[in-house]
Amino acid sequence: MPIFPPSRHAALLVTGTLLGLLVVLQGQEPSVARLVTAEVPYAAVDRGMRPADSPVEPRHGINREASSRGRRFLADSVIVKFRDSASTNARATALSGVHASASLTPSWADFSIVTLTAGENPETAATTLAARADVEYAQPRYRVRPLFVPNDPLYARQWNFTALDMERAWDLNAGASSSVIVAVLDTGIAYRNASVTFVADRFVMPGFGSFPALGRVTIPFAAAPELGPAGRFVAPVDMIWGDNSPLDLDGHGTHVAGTIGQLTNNAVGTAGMAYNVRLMPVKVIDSDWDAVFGSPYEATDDVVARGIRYAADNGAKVINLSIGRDGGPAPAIRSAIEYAVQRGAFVVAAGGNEFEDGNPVNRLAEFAREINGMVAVGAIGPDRTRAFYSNVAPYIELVAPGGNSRSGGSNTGILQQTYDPDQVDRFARGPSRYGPPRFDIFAYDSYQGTSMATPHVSGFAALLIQQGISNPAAIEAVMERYATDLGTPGRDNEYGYGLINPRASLRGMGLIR
Amino acid sequence: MGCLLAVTPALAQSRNQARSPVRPPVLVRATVDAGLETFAASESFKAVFDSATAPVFGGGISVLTRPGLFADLRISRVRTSGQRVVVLDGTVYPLGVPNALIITPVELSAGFRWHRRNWKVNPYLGGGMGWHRVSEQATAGIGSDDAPRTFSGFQALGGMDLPLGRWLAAAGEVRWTSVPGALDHTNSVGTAFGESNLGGASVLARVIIGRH
Repeated sequence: MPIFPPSRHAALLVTGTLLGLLVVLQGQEPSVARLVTAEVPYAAVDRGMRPADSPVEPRHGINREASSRGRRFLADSVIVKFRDSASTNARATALSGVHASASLTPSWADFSIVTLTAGENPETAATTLAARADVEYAQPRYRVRPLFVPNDPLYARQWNFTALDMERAWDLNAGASSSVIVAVLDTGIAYRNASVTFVADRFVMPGFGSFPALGRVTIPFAAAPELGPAGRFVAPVDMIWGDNSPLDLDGHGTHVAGTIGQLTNNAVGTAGMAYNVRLMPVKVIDSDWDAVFGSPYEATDDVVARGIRYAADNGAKVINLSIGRDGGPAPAIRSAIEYAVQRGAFVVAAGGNEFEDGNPVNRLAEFAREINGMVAVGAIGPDRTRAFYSNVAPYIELVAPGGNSRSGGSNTGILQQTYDPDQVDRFARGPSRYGPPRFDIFAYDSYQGTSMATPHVSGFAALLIQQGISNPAAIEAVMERYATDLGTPGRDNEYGYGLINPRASLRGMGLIR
Repeated sequence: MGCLLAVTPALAQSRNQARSPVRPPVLVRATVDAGLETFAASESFKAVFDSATAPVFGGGISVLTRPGLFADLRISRVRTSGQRVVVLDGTVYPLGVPNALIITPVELSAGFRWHRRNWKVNPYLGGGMGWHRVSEQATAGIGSDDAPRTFSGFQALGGMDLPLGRWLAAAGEVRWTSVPGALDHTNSVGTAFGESNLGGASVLARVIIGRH
């Protein structure tokens, strides 16, 4: 099952759990499991923020103090914009007043670069020039450095990136590149437009009663607008339906993929960690609708293990597992992960959300401490303390923002674009209001869970790979070496080595510091 | 021959004047130098800058007393560039983040210079204290990331100067510098290699301007 937000959409959780156990398909096996009837029938609809989400205070800019290098501007010249009315003589007089020796107007500019004689202070010279009536403005040639603050309008609500100091990390590495492939093993991804015909038979859900058969239904799918063009997705595969159309019938995988690689700085919606990577949708989790529509496979260890091996064999450098389970050990998955790591893929697994449900071992994460090149991730909230649901275990190696609705305030989840839940959870309101879902209407929705923490680490790994650290064991070592220690000093079972620190990791070591 | 006879007394007089004890008790001389410095933290320098050797340029003032005691004030500059790295178990992973280093030592030294009239070269030895201002700048570094730091150390030096005229001399000098603890920061590659000293040995060619 996906490591799903425990407090989100309570009705969905109920139905999800019960459906997983108690879906009773009645009637004949559908003659057509699913059929793609059109490739591009529907344009995605972006509903924007969910109306129930209350706005928060705008984020204040980080105090970007002036560099102490002592070279905030070039020492030998200034920028001067003369008024059009200024005569040649007046310009010469102005320049001689600041001991300027030369002036030139570069291309694509309406100002001049004035060269000062040695020893002339550019700030003083600019002030002197600016005071003249024939000068429109004058200023030193201040050094501009990369300072990336995404212009996505909902970025201000993404506390998770501020908590990770991502703006300064992106200064060093602007979202990795398309050479890095991150596989998302999940419920699929909203990666393409299509209309698909399914057959939905009647089923019974205890507590809700019998849901009627919908018969043959054509369901619209659209690619998530904030995940980018079709070319961004590599080698999609669906281990649940046994084909190569890993359509997301839930929204979880699309949300996770958004945290990894949401289009960023495009003046739309939200941002993502490694927004230039390519994504590999590998569907290994069946959602409620997959069950209702009669998918031939379910999310079992073998399916997940196959998905891991498939991802490793098809070029994935990072494998995101925002999934998990308790129960008995998972040697098939362990073997697949070891194989993937040997193939050069870094594996990131969610630590588990069941701390308050007995804190069981997440069998997909438990061997992280024994495999160099795999990490298990716990979750923290905006207050940088462990989220109430996040498992406490020896295999937790790192933590990342996963949201914590108990930490106070309305903006405590991880916000990304995914399906509008009103259009997906059509069975959550009981049989009388039951109807077919739509997967072409999107919204920005907050989730919480170690599922949400995990893609932060996957995106971080992609940045490190782009930066030149590609060995999975080395990636893990760097992450742990630079993690910000939280909780008990040193490694502990709540926070592992601590909160990931992309900025410090990407900056690395210098001679002095 | 007559001509030679006429000239010889004048030459002799001139030499006598040069050897006459009119030298003041204290001589102030300017120096400029250039050379190469090889740093003791060789693994650290190689990891970040690909080389443990860098050019050094300096200059200063030297005060020389009649008995041979001298005091030097020297300012020099070492500049090199490389890229930031991560070091794991001795393996260096370059990160592609440009990193520039400027070391500006201010060194105060004192010592003794041996001088005899019939010596063509004059050896000297000395030692003293130094203050080493280090500026390390990385791409996108801001504020405290790149704030210059100053470390104190000490140095020993020795060399020989060769007068080239009344106001000019050349010298060859070897300096050994120790700046302990400069690489102790947890984010310094020095911690990965067990190196903490910013000092090293340098070989310098000096030009001395002033009476000697």
